[in-house]
Amino acid sequence: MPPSPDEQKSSPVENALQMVLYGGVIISIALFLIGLLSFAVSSQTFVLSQTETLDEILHSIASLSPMGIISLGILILIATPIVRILMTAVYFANRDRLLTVVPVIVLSLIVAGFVLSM
Amino acid sequence: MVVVETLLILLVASVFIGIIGSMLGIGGGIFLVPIMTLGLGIDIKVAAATSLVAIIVTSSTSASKFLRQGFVNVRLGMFLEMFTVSGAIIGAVLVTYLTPQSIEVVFGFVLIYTAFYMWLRKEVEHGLSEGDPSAASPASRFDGSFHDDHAGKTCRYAVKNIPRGGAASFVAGNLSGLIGVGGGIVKVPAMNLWMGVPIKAATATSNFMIGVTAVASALVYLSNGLIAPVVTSVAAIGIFAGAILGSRIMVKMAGGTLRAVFALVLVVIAVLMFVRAGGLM
Repeated sequence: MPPSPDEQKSSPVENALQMVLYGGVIISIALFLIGLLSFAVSSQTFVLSQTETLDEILHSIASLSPMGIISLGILILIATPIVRILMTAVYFANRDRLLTVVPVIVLSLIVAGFVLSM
Repeated sequence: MVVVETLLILLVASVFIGIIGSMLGIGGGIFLVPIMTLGLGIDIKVAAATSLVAIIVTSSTSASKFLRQGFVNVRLGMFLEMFTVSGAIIGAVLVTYLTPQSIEVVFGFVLIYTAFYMWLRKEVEHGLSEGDPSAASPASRFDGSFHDDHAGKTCRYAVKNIPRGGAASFVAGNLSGLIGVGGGIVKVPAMNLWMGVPIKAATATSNFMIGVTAVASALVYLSNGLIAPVVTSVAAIGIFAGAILGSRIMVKMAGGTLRAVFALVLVVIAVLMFVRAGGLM
């Protein structure tokens, strides 16, 4: 949903954030559709709720298989809010101490949770 | 063939969840997880992982809209994210130690809480008008304002009870990581009733936070090998399409009757969850 001029009630940083959020969703939904269609036209079979390990996901992305295209969409979707945090941290650096420190803490927590659970 | 049929059922269900979610202002995990577990027989841990990824779609889409309208309190949202993310990671790690049955029991209780919340929903309209002398001197660095089109004025509000809001956010994040819901059902009332945030800003700010909260736990599920790409992509597409349709329909959650019906549906789902947890289904 691109912003229409009469709806502009937000600041430039809010506009940038909303573009990133919506852009990330659109790209991943497009990849999901491409991946599922590739599955449909290929003769590959899959188990419905087959789960993939991180290694399998990375390998499938590297091979650009239908599963890989879908997995890439999932990773882009997961990356979208992370990019949003990074943008906030960069934008507010030196302008607002709270909004510079808080995103760094949030990001550290996310990375720590991911790394420690591997 | 069975696989294709199941995926079609999931797609149609997700579209409906997307529509209902945009009507009720929720992410939809509260419906998606039971449909996957009770309806399609998918393990609740995989269903929660799927829901968490799908929730990123709904929250990012609606947060994007709310940001454009200026309803999100970015400063407050980012601050409370520290608490939701901490809770989410602990919740997602706990999942690996819990049996599916115990997670189903937790889900059942959350459903009953949600049913009561929807049925008895209490909202407080905060906000200081432009001429109000106290509006000129914000007391907290988290105070916010937005333009209310319906009232035709700028609504300013003071944010209070930050520690209590932080605690509620931690609980919301914890539930999110544990059972795959967004946690808006905890955060929105906490921000509205305790912290003095008007309902529009509370809903928008909660949505803004859900994406980051869901990512924190989704990454733990990812590293534990609980993500099922195909099911996840179908649910995400369905919910996305449903959310777009829902916002086009623009049906506002009107009257107590519709809310009471949803509350009843949630109680029925809760009972089914308990039955399943007890091994009777």
